[in-house]
Amino acid sequence: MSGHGWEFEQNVTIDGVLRRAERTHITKLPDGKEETEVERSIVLVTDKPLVLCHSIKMGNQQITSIETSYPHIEVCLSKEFFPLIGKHVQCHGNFRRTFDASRDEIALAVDTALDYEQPLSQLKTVFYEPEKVEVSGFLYETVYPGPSEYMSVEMGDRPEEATIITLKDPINVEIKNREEDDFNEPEKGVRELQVSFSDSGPTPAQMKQEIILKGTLYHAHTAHHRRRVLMMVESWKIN
Amino acid sequence: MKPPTDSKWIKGEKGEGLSIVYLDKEGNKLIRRKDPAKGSLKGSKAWRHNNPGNLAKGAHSSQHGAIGSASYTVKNEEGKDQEYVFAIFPSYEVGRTAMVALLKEERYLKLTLEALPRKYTGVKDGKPDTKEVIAYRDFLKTSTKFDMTRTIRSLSDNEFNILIKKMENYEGWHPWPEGEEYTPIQKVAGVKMSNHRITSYLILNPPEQRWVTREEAINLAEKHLLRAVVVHNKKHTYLRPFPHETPFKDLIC
Repeated sequence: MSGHGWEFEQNVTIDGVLRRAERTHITKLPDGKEETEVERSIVLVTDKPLVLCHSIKMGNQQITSIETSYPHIEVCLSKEFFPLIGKHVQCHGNFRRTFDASRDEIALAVDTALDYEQPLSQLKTVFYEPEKVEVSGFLYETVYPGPSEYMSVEMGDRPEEATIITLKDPINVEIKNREEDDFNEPEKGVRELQVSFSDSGPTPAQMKQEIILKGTLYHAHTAHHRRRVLMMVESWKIN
Repeated sequence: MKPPTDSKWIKGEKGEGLSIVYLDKEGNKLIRRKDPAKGSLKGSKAWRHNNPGNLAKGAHSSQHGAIGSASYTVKNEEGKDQEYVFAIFPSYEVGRTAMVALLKEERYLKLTLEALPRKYTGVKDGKPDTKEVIAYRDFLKTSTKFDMTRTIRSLSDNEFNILIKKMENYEGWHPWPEGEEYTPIQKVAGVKMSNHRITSYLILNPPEQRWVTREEAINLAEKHLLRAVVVHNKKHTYLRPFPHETPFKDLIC
């Protein structure tokens, strides 16, 4: 792999299998005892080894170069893609530097993970606002840390409750008229939507059943938005 | 040391810990940190990123002057990792302009103040409301004293500015000037040569300048504190100016 850099907005596509991984750190203390810490993460075992190259160039002349080969890379993965763990996927995202000395130097922040078993062409395509769309799936609620640090409710950030629908089938979300809409962004293989109800939402009992939502879609654009695509629900019914 | 008021940051990226690093075209560097004091809100995320609206990385922030992004992985209540990607803007003014542009989009202009938090936060409306949308709405209601059934479009310029200011407060704009660290890039202003080899460098670090040995200069450049390229060849290590900058041989003192 060559040509990828740290530059803002540089996207990469890498194929492989998503796996759960464990890394054990053993620290030997002066008194002879050992402290063991197990770090769990998700990695992409890539189809081809990734080669990270540090090089210095003067003009076109390469002065020095050091290469490190990685058989897998740690990934930052949205919960939306957790059902794909163990599957062969195509990941789109950006490389991120990690500052933790005990970890690998780079990680892959995944924007989209696509399941090889579900080709994009077979997925239903729907459109962003103002089109009204209908989707079905199962709702769940989860809490995320909000302002001011968006890091930890325990540390004082405001808790923000988000309602998510796991779609029965992944969808592609497109822009109907790209000349008029430079705000929303096309998304492929969307598996979950963050939803907001305009009036009373379903009861906890109803949330355990398959639900059909009708409303408009928009792309995430603030830190409060926890999924790539959000839906303003206008009506719903239990399937 | 504070950065010059006319600094123009062209790149922003995540630094160590929770810090954000800004760089200008020369390589001058500004680091913004969070106040480590327990419970302190100073040096908040919005301030560190010059992002008063807490806008995410994406088409809107890129079109409105973002110079980078910083991603964070945190665990939600189920212990699952979730990635957040914040846009980084070069200044408060640019970040605020991006937030204003968002609320001037038709998709927001048509909303009532009552409905605004629903779209901005993506949380549900109506009854029963989630705590945070009630809190956001109540905060806007009590702090602006506006009729919450009014649309954003109906606000006067002054009212709109009040709304933006109150949203900034709610989003957590908490500056911490003490958390800024500016490191100007030092430059080579002169060299001394012996037997066609540079033996020492005159380093300009306004308002001071000083002579350092060749080894010290290489050390500074390796730490990105001196504007020069470190070249390691098979025989020895030496410095070169960046392309299109004055050759060192033209700086012989």
